[in-house]
Amino acid sequence: MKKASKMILAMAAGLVLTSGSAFAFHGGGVAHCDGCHSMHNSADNARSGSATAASLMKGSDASSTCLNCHTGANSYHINSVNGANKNQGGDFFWVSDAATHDYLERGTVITFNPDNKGHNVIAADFGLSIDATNTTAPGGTMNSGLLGCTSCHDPHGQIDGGTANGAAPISVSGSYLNQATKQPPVGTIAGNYRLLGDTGFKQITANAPVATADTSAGTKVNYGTGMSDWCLSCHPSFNDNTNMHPTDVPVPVSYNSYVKTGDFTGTVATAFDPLVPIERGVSDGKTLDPASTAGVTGTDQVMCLSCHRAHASAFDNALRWDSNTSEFIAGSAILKENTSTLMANGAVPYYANGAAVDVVAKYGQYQRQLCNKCHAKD
Amino acid sequence: MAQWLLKYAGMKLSGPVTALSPVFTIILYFLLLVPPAARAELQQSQRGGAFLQANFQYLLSDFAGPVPSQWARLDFDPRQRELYTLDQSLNEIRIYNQQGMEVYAFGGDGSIVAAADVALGDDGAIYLLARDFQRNGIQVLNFRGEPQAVITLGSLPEKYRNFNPDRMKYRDGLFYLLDSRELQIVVLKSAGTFHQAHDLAADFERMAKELDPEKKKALSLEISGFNVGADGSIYFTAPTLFSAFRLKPDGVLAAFGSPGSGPGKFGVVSGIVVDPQGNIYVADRLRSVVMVFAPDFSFLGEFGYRGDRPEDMIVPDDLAIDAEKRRIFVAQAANKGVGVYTVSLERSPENFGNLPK
Repeated sequence: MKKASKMILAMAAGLVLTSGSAFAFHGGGVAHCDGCHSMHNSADNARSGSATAASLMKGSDASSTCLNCHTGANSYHINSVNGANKNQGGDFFWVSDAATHDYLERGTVITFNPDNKGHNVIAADFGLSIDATNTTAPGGTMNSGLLGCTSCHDPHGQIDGGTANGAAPISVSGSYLNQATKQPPVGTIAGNYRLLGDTGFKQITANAPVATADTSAGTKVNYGTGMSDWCLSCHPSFNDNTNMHPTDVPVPVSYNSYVKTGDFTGTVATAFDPLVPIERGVSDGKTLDPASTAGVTGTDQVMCLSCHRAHASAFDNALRWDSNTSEFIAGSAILKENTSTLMANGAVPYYANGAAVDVVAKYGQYQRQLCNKCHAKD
Repeated sequence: MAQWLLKYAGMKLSGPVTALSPVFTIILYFLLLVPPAARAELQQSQRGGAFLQANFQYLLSDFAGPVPSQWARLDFDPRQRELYTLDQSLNEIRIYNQQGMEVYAFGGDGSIVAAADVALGDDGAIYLLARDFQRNGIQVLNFRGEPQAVITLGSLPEKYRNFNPDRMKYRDGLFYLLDSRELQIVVLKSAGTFHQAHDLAADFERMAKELDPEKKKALSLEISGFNVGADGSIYFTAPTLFSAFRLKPDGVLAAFGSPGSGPGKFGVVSGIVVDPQGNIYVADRLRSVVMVFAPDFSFLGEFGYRGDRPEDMIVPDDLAIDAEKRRIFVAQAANKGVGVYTVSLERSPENFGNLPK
C-alpha cells in the first residue's frame, strides 16, 4: 500500500499522449484502418507470401480479425475460453469447438452440440467453425458459410450508406446515448448501436435497432425499438405472428407482478428482469436508461432478444435459460460446476446485469421455464 | 539443397536422381528428418543500435506432432529446464522437456480445479491459480499433479476486498497475483500472508483522462500480459492504453509504447517477459510479432509476423523465457500451440552507456 501511494508515473517520451482517440477503438465509426488491415505486413517483415486473409486483414478471416481484440473475458470481450462472459449478447465460447461435452438431459447423457447454441460465426484463429447442422440461417436463405461478425456489425460503422451517400460525419458511439458526455456535436451524428448494419448492409433489410448499453462491457442494456425487424433480415420466415411466437406485440402486464414461481407480488418500478428483457418502444436512445428496473409501462414490446441472446448462450437455440432441463431450471446439468457433467469450469450459464444468477436463490427450487415471466402459468 | 545434402553425406552427384536410386533415398531421408527449424528462415532486425536474430526452433510437441492449444498460459522452470503450459479450455497442464517434447500431462480428466494460471515453485511444486479463487485459492500440486495443499488468501486491506486474481507468477518465495479487471496486484508470501499490494486504477484513469478529457469514449481499462523480473520488478501490458509498464520494487511505475502498425508500435499488446539483462519482450496479437525493448524502453527489434508457416505467428499471447538458452516461448491462437524461438541480441558498445543504472 505504501508502495502504491508513492508511485510515480514516469511516461516515456512519445507515450500515448500523442495518440488522441486511439483507444475506444471504434467510436461509432470506421476506426483506425491499421487496427484491422496490414498495409505492408510490417516493414521489418522481409518475407513475402505470408498474408493469410483477404483484404489484408489481420486475421485469417473477418471474424478472427474482430476477435483479435474481442477474445477474452469481461469488459469488451465476447469470446472467452470457458463461457465466463456475462454480457447481454452472450459468449461465443458456447459455439466454439472447445465447448463440446456431455451433459444430462432428462436423465439421458447427451453430447452437447455447440452448433445449436448461437450464431456460428466463422473465426478460424479462435476455434469457431461453420455450422455443421444448418446450411442456411434458420428461417432464411443466408449461407451459413458466410456467417461472421460482419454479417451483423458493420466494421466501417457506416450509417445510411456513409458520408459518401450524404450521411453526416459520425462523431460518437451510438451505444451510450443516454450519457450527457456522449452526445454528438452539432453537424455530426452518433453511430449505430454496436455498429449494427443498416438497410442495405450485407443482407440487412431494416435499419439498425435502437438500444443503449451501460458500458462497452454491455452488461446492462435497455432496448428501444427495431430489434425484431432487424433480426428478420436473415430469418424472414419467422415473421409469422400467427403460427409462431409473436414479436413486436405488447408485453402482458403480468410481467410486472411475476417475480418467481408462487410470487406475484412484483411492482412496475422494479419488475424488469434482465434475463427476460423487453423492448421499450422508444426510438430515441437518449431516453433509454440501461440501469432501468421498470417493467411494463405501456409501450413495451416482446422482441427476439426477450428469449434469445444475440451471440450465443449455454442453452439450445441461444435461449437465455435452459429449455432442456427435466422440469425445473435449477436442475440444469450445466449448472453443476466441478462435476463431470459441467461443460467448462468457471462457465456462467445464467447471468444478469453482469453477475452470475443463482437460479435457486432468485427464482426458487421449483421455477420452471422463464416463459412464465410473461405468461404467469407457474 | 540436393548438392549440400550429398556433400554432407560424402557423396557426389554422378547421374540422374531417380526414385529408385540410393542417392534419392538419402535426399528423401534428409528432407524428412531434418527438423523444420533447420529449414526455417533466420529473422534479423537492426534497430536502436542492436542486432537481433530470432531463429524458430519448433512447436512444442508430443509423439504425434505439435500439440495444439489456444493461448496457453506458460511458465518456465529454469532448474529442470521444463516448460509448463495450461490449456485453459481443457484445463490441462502439459510439461515439456528442453527438447520441446511433452513428458507429462494431467488435469484434462477433471482431476484438478478450474485454473486460470500456472506457476512453478522453487521446490518443484506446481501452483495453480483457481478460477474460483475465493473458494479454491492457490492449489499446490506435486510433480505428478496430485493435490498437496491449498494456499488461501489472508486478510487484505479494505481497498482490495473485491480482489479476484486471474494471473499469477511466483518468484523468490513470493506469489504475484493480478486482478486484470480491478487493476490490482497483490503480493503474497508463500504461506499466503499479505506482503504488498498495488492499486493501479488511479494511474490508469489518469492516463485515460489525458487521452479523453471529455469522456467521449467508452473506456475499458484492463491488463493483459503479466510477468515478474529477476529483481522483483513487475511487468504488464495494457492493450487499450497501447502501453507496457514496469513497476519496480521501490514503487516507481514507468510506461512505454505508442500505437501503430509499424515496427515497434503497439496494436493489441499481450504477453510480456524480461531477460536477465532487463530487455523486455512484448507480444502483439494484432501485429503477430514479439517486440524487444531495452531497459530504457528503446526499441531493439521484433520477430514473428503473421503467416501460416510454423515459424510464423498467429495472434501471439503469453510469453515465457529460458534465459540460459535464450529461448522465447510464444503461446498462439488458431490452436497452433506454443512456438519456440532462440533469440540473439547484440548491442553496440556505445549503446550500453545509455542504459539506466
